[in-house]
Amino acid sequence: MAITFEQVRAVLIPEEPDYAAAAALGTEALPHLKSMVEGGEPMLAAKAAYVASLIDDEGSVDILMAAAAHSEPSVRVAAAAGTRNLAQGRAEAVQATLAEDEDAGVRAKNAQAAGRDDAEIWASAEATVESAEPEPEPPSTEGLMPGERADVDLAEGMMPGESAVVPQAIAAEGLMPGERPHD
Amino acid sequence: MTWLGWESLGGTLTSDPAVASWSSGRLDVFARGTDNALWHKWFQNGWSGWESLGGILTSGPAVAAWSAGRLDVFVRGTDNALWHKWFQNGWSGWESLGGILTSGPAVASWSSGRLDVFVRGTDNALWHKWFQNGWSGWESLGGVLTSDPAVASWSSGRLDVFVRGTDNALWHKWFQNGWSGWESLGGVLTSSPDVSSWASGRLDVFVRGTDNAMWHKWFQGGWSGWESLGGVLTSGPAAASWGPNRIDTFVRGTDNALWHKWWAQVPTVRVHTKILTNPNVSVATVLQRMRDVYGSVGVHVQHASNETLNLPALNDLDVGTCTRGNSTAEQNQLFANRNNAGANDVVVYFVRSTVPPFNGCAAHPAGRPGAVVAQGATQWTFGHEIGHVLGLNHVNDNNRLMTGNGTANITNPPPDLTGGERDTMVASPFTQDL
Repeated sequence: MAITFEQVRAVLIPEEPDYAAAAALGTEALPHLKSMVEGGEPMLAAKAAYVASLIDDEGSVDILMAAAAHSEPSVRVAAAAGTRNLAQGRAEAVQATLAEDEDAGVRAKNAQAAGRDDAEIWASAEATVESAEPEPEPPSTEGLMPGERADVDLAEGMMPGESAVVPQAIAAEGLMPGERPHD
Repeated sequence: MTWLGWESLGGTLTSDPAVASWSSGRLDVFARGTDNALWHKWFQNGWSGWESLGGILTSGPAVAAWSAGRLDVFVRGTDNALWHKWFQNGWSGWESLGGILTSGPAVASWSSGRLDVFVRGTDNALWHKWFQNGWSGWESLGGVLTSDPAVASWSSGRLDVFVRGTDNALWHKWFQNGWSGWESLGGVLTSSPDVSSWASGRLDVFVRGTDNAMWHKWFQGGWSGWESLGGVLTSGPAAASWGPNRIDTFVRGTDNALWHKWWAQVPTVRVHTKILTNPNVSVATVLQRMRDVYGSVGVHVQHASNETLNLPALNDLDVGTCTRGNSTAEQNQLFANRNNAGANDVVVYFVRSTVPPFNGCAAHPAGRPGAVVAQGATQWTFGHEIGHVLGLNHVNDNNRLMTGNGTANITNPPPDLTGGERDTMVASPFTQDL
């Protein structure tokens, strides 16, 4: 019985897919893997490309080439890493494409898969890590009272409106403000 | 130790609440109702309903418990005198103890058969009356009060009294082999204070600030600063402790209902996040999803720190077979970046991708508990991977966080954790009693 798209997807959708089980689906899975690589789910596309490399069939090359042209670097990384699993003759075309990739991370994984040192790539590459401002953590709405704002300004050690200067002169005699010493 | 709540306990209060505890797991809360009578609600294996104890109160109540099964409640009557009602195998009637009060009373008990009551007199000074084999007269302790007093006793022969002064600051006076002078503890109070003690040498004072939130200051070998505990209070707070490391506070909310917030030791996962690539589902969202799921089994999630790491060579991380107890050279290198995380804190690294492609991977080097989460992971992957770090395995159930079928397939969010999984998590060294 033919393998369905959903069967292939079911193997790949877990957080940590069982790649041995996925590869065991064999060449019948390749058309579905191609669809996944060309589909709109980059995480699934990356997993599909990697499985295609493990199946290591002539049809795998086409899928890895599609992955190598994907707009998401994480999918191209999967293609690059996957070339390690291909027979040498199949890997060369994919690796040649990825060697020119604009992303240093993709080129580095491609170099590693080809058995080359990736140090030179990193030495010449600009740091590509996104330095976007981390998104502020929204205040938890858990445990708030009616009307309460979650973004309370926690002034350290002081209450709102409190002056840092405690009137020591008043405290010194052990009397409260306005209190007269007992005669 | 963690603050939990707020929790609404209903009712319609017309005064500050008061609370006492006569044993571990027991709380007795009192307040004036809309009929000016004394009302009572208690906690013992769950909350009771409200019980009316009658009377016509012109102040909030005060209560102390000198032993298990004993409660002494004090209020101001319509004649401005101090009135007393107690519980011991049933409620007594009302007893007048005289005086002319210009505030609600405060009471503490340092031993069985001992009560110390404090009020403000017509001269705005602090006045004191005590019971030990009979009632004393009234003793003036001076001061100029602008609030009800509050009092706690951490041991026999020790009393700590707190009031608001004319400068709206917190003032403190204590008794130990004689009365101290007044000590200012600062702050700007918009309510009467209340105080509890869970150990000798420990005091926890609660007040309402000018922002109407509850504020906390404590003494343990010295005074802390002020800590905001949030909330929108329409009363002064009440506080009691039933044992070490436990405080229960009660206030009236803007809906005039009784609200409860408590300090307790809870199993807590301390998580540090380190960003190599920002995930598609934000860190804030995945933390909230984790809190939703873990909170359902009473495990608290504390976000201890967040840091951006500029490690591009580890941004597509080789995780090998991603099996427990095994880690690659790249994992070893990345997980070395703990940067002051505690030995039992969990560090999660957000990377662009893993090789081979996983949503996340919880395999980590020994002594460096943590996980990686890929950019394209789902909203549940973060909690799922930390679940693995805490010892949980995959299950074949798409209603559960630890589904091995992919958290993208979770059908009835939020996903579940079972009691057995909770036991495993709590037994993990990476779940800490904080």
